Amino acid sequence: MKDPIIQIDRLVKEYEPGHRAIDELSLQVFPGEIFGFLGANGAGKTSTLKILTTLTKPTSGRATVAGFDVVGEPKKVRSVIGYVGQQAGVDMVLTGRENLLLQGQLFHLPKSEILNRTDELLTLFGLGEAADGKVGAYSGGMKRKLDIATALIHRPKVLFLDEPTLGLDPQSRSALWTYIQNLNRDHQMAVFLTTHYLEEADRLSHRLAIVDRGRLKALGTSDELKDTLAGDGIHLTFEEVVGSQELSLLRQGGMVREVIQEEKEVHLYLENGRGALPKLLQILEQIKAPVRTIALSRPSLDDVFLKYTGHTLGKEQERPAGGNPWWPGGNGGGSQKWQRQWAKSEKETDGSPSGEWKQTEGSESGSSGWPLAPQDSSSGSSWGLPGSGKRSDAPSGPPQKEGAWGRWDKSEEPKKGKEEG
Amino acid sequence: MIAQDTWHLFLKYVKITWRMPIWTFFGLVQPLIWLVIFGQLFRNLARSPGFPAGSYLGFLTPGILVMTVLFGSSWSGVSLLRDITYGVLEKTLVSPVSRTAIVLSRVLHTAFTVLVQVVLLLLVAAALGAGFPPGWGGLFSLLVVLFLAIGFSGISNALALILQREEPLVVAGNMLTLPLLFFSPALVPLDFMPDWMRVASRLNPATYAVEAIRSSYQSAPAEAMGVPLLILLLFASLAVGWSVVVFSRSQG
Repeated sequence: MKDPIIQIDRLVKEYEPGHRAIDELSLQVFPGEIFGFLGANGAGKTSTLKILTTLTKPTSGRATVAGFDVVGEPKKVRSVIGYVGQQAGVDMVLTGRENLLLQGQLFHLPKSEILNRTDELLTLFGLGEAADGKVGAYSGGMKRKLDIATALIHRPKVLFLDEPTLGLDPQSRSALWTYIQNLNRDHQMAVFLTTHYLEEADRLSHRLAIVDRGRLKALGTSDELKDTLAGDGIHLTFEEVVGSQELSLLRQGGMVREVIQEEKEVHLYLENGRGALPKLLQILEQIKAPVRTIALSRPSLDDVFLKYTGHTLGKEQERPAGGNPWWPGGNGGGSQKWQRQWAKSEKETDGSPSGEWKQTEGSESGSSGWPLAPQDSSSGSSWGLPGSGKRSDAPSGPPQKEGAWGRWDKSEEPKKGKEEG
Repeated sequence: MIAQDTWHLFLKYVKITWRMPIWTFFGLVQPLIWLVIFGQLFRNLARSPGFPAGSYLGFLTPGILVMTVLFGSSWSGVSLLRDITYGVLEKTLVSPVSRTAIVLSRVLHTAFTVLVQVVLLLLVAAALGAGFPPGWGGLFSLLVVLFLAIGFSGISNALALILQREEPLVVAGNMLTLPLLFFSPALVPLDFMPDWMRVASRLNPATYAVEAIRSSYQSAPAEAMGVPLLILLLFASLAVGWSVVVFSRSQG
């Protein structure tokens, strides 16, 4: 195996004594790899990044980048890394070209190389026409692209990206993903990116780490992590938080392997979700706890995150920050976001009745049956529940709409799934 | 490397200022008001016993030049905080650029901007009848201005990193500049001050700057100008040294 390009050993960062932003973090990143660092706000992602980029010093532990110690040899580290922070660190009053030229000068590159590299990067990122306009007039996506371009001027061995698509619209985000993948593929450049978008981590990273409150919770490829949750997930949302008695009833019968309760939501993980559903419905009948939604799914990264951190990503953020404007789901967990997205793709692809699919959030459907949101991405389990007769003739399988959402492209069945760009 | 880095960053700041020239002119408004209105209001002061010979405008002009330096330099730290907020500084810090060069380029840029303002004011004052410093006096005055501006913008940058917010920095700047002006011979001769103020004014770099520029207008002997210049050079070095230390500590 190749030597790691990033080596982190028992890293600790304390901003105040006793409060660890990073707690005994150890991991390795290898050359040519896109490594996703996934966690909620305040999980220690940015702190880790700042240590690796020499912007701040660790309290204890050790980290090397390209073999150089981040504390002992910061200048050498800086000359081999590119860094794109959360804010666009480009000068608004300067033009795009001037920003690139300056960056080349700050990296002490020869003049001819700076000029060549600037033209090359402007073309690569499609900024040629805007090159001589002031950055202040650029769109958010263009600023981010310029920011990444400036970070690449000296052909770094590792590119660090801190929440690269935060605040971007879906088109810009998708375009940026393609750029990042191309950079990694064409130049074998290692990319270390932090994100709190599951979808981004899933689609981009070869391997990913889940961090929570400064601790490493899981590490592996997206598929490896999903495999730790073998089987299916059934996600129930009750009208009220259910008690432990009801939970133990749900557990009965031996089919459920794991139960995770998250306020009003209960997540069940079991071998054969479809097979178990009728029995589960009977149990729910007995419990008499009113259910708002039921969803059956193959394990997603969402479930992985839930398993390792005890909460879904969308929810954790709202508690401290009082709502996160960038999280498109508003007040839902990640899973609801998928559900609505599914409904959207459904509508776009085959025009099947989509209205009722959207009821998963908000609307109270009461006695007419449970609104459902199938999440299964591969095994064709669109199914109906008693009371919602129409669903029984629903098309089977999710839409494989190209490029709509990375998650669907990256199906569990590689033969069928399209792997585009 | 430090010289090269400083030069590149200095050029960047000059370019930014050049594209927003309005702020440089804006900084001239207040000194102009003082020069014209204060000069008129206190013109009869020149007739009081013990006042040096010549017009009050002639007396006031060096004081207003120093005031321009104080006001202009005290803003230097504000743009540092803005660079921090917008991630520009972070981006620079991740490059192998010298940390000292980051501070030096900022300080030199402020001094350069202030120098441009002072030259414009010199012309206005001359038009109003204050005349020019004869011989090398003009260049000498600009050197005094340069050292004083470097010193105070060094202090402003260090304070910015210590206070970390724009509001307290602006308050601190205002709190510093006016007393420094009053504790100097900028508006009245030192002889007019109570003893304790006169003693205190000897600790004020602005005092030496005002005296040096004033003597350059009066074609004073070289020794009279050399000592204040050395004192100001020392002041500038200490202030810049301090800001470099504060910067390296706070920004790794």
